Amino acid sequence: MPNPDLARFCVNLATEARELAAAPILRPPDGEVVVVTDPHFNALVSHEVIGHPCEADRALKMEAAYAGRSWFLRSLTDNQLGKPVASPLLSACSDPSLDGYGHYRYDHEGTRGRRVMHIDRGIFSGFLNSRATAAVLGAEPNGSARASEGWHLPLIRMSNTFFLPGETPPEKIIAEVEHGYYVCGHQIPSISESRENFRISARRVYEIENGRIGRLYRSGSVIADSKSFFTKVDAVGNDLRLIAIPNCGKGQPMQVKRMSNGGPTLRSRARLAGN
Amino acid sequence: MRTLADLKSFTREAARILAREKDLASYEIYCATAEHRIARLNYTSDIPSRGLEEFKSLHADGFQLRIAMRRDPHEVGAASEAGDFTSDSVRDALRRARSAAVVDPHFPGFPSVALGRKPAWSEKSDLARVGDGAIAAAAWDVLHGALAAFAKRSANDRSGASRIEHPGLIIGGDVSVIRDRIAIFNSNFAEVRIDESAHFNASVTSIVESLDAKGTAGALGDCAAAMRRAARVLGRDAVRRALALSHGARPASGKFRVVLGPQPVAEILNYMVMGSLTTGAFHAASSAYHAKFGAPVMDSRLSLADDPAFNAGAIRRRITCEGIPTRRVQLICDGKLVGLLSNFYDTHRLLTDEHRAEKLGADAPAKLDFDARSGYRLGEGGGRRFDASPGSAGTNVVMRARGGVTDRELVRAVGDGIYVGRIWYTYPINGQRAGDFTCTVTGDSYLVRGGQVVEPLAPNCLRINANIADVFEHPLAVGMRPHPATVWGSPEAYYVPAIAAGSIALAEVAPN
Repeated sequence: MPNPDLARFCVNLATEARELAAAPILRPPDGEVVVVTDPHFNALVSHEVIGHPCEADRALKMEAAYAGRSWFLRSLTDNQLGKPVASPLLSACSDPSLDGYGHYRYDHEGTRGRRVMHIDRGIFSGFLNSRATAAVLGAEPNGSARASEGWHLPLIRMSNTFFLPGETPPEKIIAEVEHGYYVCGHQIPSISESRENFRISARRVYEIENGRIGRLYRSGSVIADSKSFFTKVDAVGNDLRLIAIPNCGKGQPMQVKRMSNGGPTLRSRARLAGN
Repeated sequence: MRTLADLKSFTREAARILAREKDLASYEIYCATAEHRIARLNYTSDIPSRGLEEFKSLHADGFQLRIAMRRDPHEVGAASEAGDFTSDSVRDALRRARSAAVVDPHFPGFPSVALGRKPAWSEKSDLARVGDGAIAAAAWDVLHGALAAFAKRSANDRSGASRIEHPGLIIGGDVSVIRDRIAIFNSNFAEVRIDESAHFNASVTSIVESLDAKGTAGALGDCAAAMRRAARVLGRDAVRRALALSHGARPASGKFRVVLGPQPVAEILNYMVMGSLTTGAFHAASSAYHAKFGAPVMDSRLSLADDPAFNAGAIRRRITCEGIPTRRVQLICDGKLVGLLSNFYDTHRLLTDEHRAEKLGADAPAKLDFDARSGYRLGEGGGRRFDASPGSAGTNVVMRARGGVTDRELVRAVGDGIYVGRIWYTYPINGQRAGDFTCTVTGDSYLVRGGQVVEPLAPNCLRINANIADVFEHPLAVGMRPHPATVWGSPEAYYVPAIAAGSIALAEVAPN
């Protein structure tokens, strides 16, 4: 699905600001609710909860003192490889061959970049790696070691990392919801140490009543345990979008890198928070 | 790194070149050389690792010109050049600054503040010259201390819990030295102004995965002896704290009375408060204290200041990156917001803002000034960058409390609740102005019952969902002494007390 052109993007942004200024703050219900998350929101979910913990240097504890570990790997013998971490409807990958902010042909160790499946129909299936971490994991190098500048050592980085699309139109996903919330646009993430839990704020949250989008709220966010959120996905849209992420920081010293993240519309269950 | 004499000499020569240009109304030359040298710890007992990684460093030196044109003193341009300190590069940068010039109606000119007396603490830090060998030796000391503490504990552990075959011991973190030198001249100054600073920052995280335990330790300071002293104890302390926290409790979600230790208080100040205490934030109407200047914003026992001359402070600076002598800036006094961090441009812009009365609020004094004592041009890691624009930043952020109590009395004030020793990934979840934040409790934390610490808390088992008002407006009690605390990536050093808060919302996180 194409991103909007610049003029429409600007008009949409101004319209959103005007509507949000008049919208009430979300007063969330207790407990889990049905949430339909749009591609822009899912871009940040795929970035923080799939992409970063799929970096093998993080999984192998090399970033433990800074940005934490990975919920996909507790140890070389106790990890999620080959195990279910999500609904069978959900798949996720990194693919540098696609035309996005994360496009490249070779990584900075000279390895050809290629598509790496992270979740294949619900089963965790692989990490992004460098030559050294591939050796530790007993895997083939997959061309994911990249530096932000020539004077930095390469770190393992996402490319175009996203949830794969399904076949359901997003309108149908919303229409099937008796009561729930439509969560649109990512804002600010906070994730737990191994990214096994997250709270991500949305730009807009709409109430869904009897399959129709209703009232708009601001200052809403989704809180969930990662595995629980992915396992409860019961609908995947056909509206994949890749969103440019221009400034992902990682490492010490910090390296800032651009990439793309995204996904289609998803439906799951999670708690909501207001302020 | 280039010497101060080199920077001064080049700045003087560049000023001569610019002074001959008839179309310039005013100008500024700023030179900086900065280094961030990093020895990273990376030890894992059950995964191949190197213990200490290859040295990493960032090194940047160069200069920046800013010019204002005679035909319109609000027409300003800037250009920078890396590494090339020659007359030709000055002329080339001047050509680029001219072609980049745009009219900025807010441009206030360049500062003309007199230099004044040299402060008493102007002696140079020996960290300005310390070599990589000393930094690497300090990092190995951290690692050896950590491994020795773990081995000793395992040998003494009758239960055998820490003697298992695959303990999953992780020692991570780094020992870093950040040092910089600057020279600056503008057409209002009589002479080139120079400054240099250096400090170290060390943080260690110890995780014992088989025990689900995590402990941390950190230190910062302004001399090599302090770095060596810290290195001898940090690894040991981090491991001991981790081992003391094995198999901790996982409380259910709810509202709790909480003691926030110095690191959480520093982290909340860094990510949630300091950004709101700038003239830029008030101008942009993005401060959490919007319309509250002069009004109470914290408990009346609390005061907060930025002090580049703080005796125990790691970050000591004599002049800002705009050439203005530094000075202590009182930000919050007895709970009232009384000052803001500012640079020269933002001071002028806020004071001439037609909406300033609304943005500052009814309690703001009629006669206002925001001294531009915090205008720094910083890069990654907090060193001074030649190509950065002046922003507002602190140096040593010091929080003090009237009527402070001991750590034991803080825990007693909570009664039944939680002691939070370390938080992580703190973000303004609904934007800075809302003051809402979320983060996870990652280690060094305990359950409190009957006013006593009774049981460790599992790392990463709780998420905090709160507002800065919950922490700072009505604390149950405040610690009596500020403790040093490091915040990863922050340009500031923090010296803060622990705070006991009455009602903080905590949500449980499922075990991984």
